[in-house]
Amino acid sequence: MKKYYSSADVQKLIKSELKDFKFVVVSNREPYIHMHSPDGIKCKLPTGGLTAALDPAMQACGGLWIAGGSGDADRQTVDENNRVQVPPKKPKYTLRRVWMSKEEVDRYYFGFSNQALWPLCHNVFQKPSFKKEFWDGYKHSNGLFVDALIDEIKDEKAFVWFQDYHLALAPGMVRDSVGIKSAHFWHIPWPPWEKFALCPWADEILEGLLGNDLIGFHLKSYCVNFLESIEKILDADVDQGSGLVKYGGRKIMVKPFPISVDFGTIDRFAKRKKVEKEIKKVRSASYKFIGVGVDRVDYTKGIPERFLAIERFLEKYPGYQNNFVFYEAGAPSRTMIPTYKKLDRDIKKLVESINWKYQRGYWKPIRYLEGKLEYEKLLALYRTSDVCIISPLHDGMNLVAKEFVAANVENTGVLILSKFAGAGEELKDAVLVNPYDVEEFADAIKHALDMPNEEKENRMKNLRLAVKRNNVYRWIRDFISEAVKVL
Amino acid sequence: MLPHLIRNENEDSEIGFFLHTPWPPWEIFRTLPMRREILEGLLDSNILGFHTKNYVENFMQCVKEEFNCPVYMGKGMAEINGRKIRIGDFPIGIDAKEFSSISSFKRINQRAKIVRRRLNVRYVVFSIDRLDYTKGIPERLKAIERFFEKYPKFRKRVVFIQVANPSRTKVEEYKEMKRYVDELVGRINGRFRDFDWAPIHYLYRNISREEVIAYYLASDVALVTPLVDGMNLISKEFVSTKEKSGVLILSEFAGAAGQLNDAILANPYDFDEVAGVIKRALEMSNREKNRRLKVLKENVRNYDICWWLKKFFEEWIR
Repeated sequence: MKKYYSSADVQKLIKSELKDFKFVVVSNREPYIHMHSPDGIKCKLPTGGLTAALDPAMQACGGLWIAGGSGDADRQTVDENNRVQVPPKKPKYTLRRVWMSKEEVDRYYFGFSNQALWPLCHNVFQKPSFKKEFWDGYKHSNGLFVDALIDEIKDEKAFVWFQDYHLALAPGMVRDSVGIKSAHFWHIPWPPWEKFALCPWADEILEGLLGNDLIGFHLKSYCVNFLESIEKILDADVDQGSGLVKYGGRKIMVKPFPISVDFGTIDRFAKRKKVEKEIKKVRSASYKFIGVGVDRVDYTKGIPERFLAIERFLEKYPGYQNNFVFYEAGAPSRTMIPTYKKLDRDIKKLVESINWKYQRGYWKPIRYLEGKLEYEKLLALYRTSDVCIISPLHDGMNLVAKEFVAANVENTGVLILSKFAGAGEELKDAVLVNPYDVEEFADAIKHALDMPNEEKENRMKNLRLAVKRNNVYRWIRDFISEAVKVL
Repeated sequence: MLPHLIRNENEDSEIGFFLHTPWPPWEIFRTLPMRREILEGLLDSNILGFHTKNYVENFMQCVKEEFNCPVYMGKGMAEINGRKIRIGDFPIGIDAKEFSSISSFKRINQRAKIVRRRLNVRYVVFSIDRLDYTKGIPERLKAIERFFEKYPKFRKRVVFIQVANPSRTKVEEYKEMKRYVDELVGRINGRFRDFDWAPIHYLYRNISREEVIAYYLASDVALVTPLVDGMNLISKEFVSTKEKSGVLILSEFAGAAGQLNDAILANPYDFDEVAGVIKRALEMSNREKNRRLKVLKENVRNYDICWWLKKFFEEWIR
């Protein structure tokens, strides 16, 4: 087996193994967004690792990507078939956009996807909201994606790769179309079966997903939970050992594929001159210790728990007052949902009260940077921070942790990572914490800052090797190789 | 912790422990910082009892993950540091005889009749809970609202009685829950009520056991829909009190649902389903009502509190 996989390997694989098939990706988010700006229409890339990871694969094989249109200039940039060739400067593949009205987005995206499935799948004590109108909207919108898919494929042979929890029903809807083989990757955790059974439509969701030939999750434990769910709720024939399911006269494979980041590209970018300039700016503030955290503002990310741990750390070990600054980049997210609005307010209040309690002169412990950080600044923070704290209460994988590792090119940073992030299973050389345990967490911060340089370097070297080996191209390759077996 | 403290005092103690709440899956339990101490505390017992098989499985999984020690699901046993601990499911029951004898008291039947007469409607549906967020009271009220929305012919013909016993009133979550329930009841009554009829009769207080039984007797349907519940004894009390034609609607997430299969089971999160089963319960033929009740009563009588004690002690001395 090769040691490190690259986008070229993925290209080769798709070209050779899928040559008789049209390669189609279906996801909620689109890889290219067209937006109006004072200088005319601009094309932007969305945040999020998924689209960035799959784009090179698509460029390689010239397939088709079906996704929801989300930019305010998206409609002006498609042809009469709702298609646009991307990337705009050097077109390599086709993006087909699916249109939804605000009401449709409210029910499908903000409603069922993010107020029912999201809290249902994350074990964070946030109650899901199972509204009938959300569910109806979810079914309806899954149908819109399927309509576009059928319209594009017609009678061709196609390999369709569905992405994530927004599209659980679509595979079941295309099952009966001839010539379609499909696979699904579920990017969030799968809960224990007795929790999943709370959903009034648990059986329909499971049946929808079993329309696929292959279903992937990040971790073995999510696969176990999923298999148990179909066993108990659908009474399907399940083999926990191999992940093989027999249901409705068909065979479905369920396997773990831990996702990752593009190590090589991040590593290269982090060494750029521009990043080095930014590092100087950060360091000129001349505090002894710097910490960094990066998250979407979401209740699964454990942001308040992290700040409470920092507060406890400063209280327990007052020597670090005046010496330690924590930069938190919080990107506002799903702000249409009341829980998220409240979380945003609560976080800001908490930062204010902690800072007020400890600040002296120009020093305050937490610098809360709202909104998206410029990529160079982010990489500069990753490179120069003594500690990066990622403390989700539950997280499918968490790519920020891997991004930090890939960017920490001098091996000087320590990663503090929640035990409940999927990445915790691979990144054994991080300092693992229970984010609910404020004492353990506070001590872990001290432990990380006091760590001898040699230990820091050893740990980071191991972490970097792990991410370099299991990079995102390896993820795509493993998934496609498994999918090829069911064609 | 108590089994551990006792064991420390006297190595040879015989200790039995019964947990009356659910036990969560490992993935939820593992978030508890002091989980190891709690498990160690419990495992100093000789026998551990839970209500359902599912809780036993969850507990065993937690023991296995935390200590990496052998657990035997089939035999109902875990082995830790050379000690063997028996772990089993013992679904608790009620004193069924006592309930059925009280329900024949004249003054209680009199009271039930007065309730019926004063309410002056065709159907009475009854619920009683501690005011606790696990009991699904807001969800139930929303299902009732949906019921009157979807089936307007039942307006003025059904009354829902909701008794809420004050509970843990110093805790902020419970205060919040009370405010929310008060508001919901007001909203729904405001929406549907008429000068001589209100859909929901809401009593926020503790009532005596005799009063509770009078309400059981006066009701056609008991609507018992917790979001999760270790066992739920209200469902069993209702069944053993009714002599005929009482229908039990029970949450599929109550421990009792495993035993009371002849209740109408529903998902409390699914307001449409709950609204639908209320209608079904009210329109059920007497024959079916009686058939179901008979099976339910038999179950509650056979697996009563004496059976539970006996089973637990038999297992213990085995």
